[in-house]
Amino acid sequence: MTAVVSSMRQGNQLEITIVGRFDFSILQDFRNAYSIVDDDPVENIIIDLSQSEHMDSSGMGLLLTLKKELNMDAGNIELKHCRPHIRDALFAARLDNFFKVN
Amino acid sequence: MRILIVDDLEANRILLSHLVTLNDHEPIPCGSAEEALQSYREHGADVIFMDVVMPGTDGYSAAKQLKVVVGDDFVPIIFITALQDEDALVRCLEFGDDYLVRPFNQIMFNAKIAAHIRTIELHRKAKKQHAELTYLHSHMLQEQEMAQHVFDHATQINYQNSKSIETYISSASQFNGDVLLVAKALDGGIYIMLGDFTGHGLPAALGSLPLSQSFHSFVDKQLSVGDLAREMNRVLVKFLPDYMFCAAVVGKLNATGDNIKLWTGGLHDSLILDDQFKIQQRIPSQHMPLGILEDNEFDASYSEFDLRPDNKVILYTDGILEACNQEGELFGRSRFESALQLSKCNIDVIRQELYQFMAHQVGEYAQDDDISLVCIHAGEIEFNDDDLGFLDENRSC
Repeated sequence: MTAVVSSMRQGNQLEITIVGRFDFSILQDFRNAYSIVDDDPVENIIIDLSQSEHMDSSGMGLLLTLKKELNMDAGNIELKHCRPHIRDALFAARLDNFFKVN
Repeated sequence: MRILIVDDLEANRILLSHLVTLNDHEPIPCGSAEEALQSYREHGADVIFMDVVMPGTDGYSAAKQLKVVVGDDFVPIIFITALQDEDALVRCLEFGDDYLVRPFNQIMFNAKIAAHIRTIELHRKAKKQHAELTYLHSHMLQEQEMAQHVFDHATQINYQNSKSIETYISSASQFNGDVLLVAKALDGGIYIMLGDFTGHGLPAALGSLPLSQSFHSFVDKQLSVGDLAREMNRVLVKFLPDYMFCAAVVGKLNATGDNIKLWTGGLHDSLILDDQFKIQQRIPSQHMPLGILEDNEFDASYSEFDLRPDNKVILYTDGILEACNQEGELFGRSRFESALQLSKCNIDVIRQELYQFMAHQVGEYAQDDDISLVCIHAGEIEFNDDDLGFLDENRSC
């Protein structure tokens, strides 16, 4: 039941895909997924949540860590294909101020 | 490794001892089952080679007795036999762990020893890890007990003592990642804060310590709920790692109980119920949770609501909506809201309904997240005799 995190860089954009639960258990994998841009920053990060059925507050915590560690501006991180309840949770936490939620 | 060689014929013992020595192990020759048992009891062994047919106790019986003595350890018994029929070989595997049929060559013998030593090493490793885990587990329980003690005493001042506030709080583990703080304001009103830290268990509960300490030191400064929230945010930004935060509502009910001010950050909609326990108003979250934004980004704006004496204000953490039954179905918003109305906001009835939902027919339930439900009754505030907000120095803690 462990989630799988994969990432792909294309030019100025990094796309991270989460398959499974987005919570604290993927901390290390998630960090590894964006550490590849440590030395060579990207402009945009897209996180594809189409295959993630659940995100709890610890998952949101990981998103905040990513934003802080990469020092990204609001709007340059996009959360793509969120399920409705994940979307609701993100809006309830007003994380739409920090991330583009689609 | 020490290798017992049990055979009544001296020639066999000499041959096997020789082969064992060639493999750099230490042979212990024994002429009978009795001798083998005694040797094992006195000096132990790692592997046992056993002849099947011996005068007196035969190999099978000897193996049976040895297995009892060996107990939880793993000491493979390998029968050496000239018997070739299926029954005899099956019995070898029944009483022992392996067999070697005579005549055998040296290569086969060496391979058998090597294979069994690999298994022994695996077994020992597993056993060692098990012992370490057992030790760590008991160590962890001790630490938790100690932490529990600290938490119990540090948060004792938080329990609500006002008749205006009813609560149902249930934590998923020994430690609660939800935090409820209530304090009497100097003007006779009540400050209340309900928070839900990232995750649950001890890491989540840790955040409640600095929070509750500073909450109680700030309430006497007559701050607005927005500024109180700002102070809480400052504390949490300082204490929590980046990935942790606290979704919260900070509120203040005035002394006459006809007005409530709410700063809302990251929890689900708070609710105002009318005299029929129907939802009169939803109060959505306006801000990000506490512990994320730096002080200069923090927004202290709050909303204010006038209340009639028969209104109720409901605050809750997401544990109640996300409580799950055996089929993985969530309790959910509509069940929760209709339970509020049908039970006439009786917290005990709602709690039982939630238990029934989670237990379904199995009779037991597993709670994944902390659950907190708070009902604030509008109307004049009454405090219980053992007032809160002011630390009673004489209370035995």
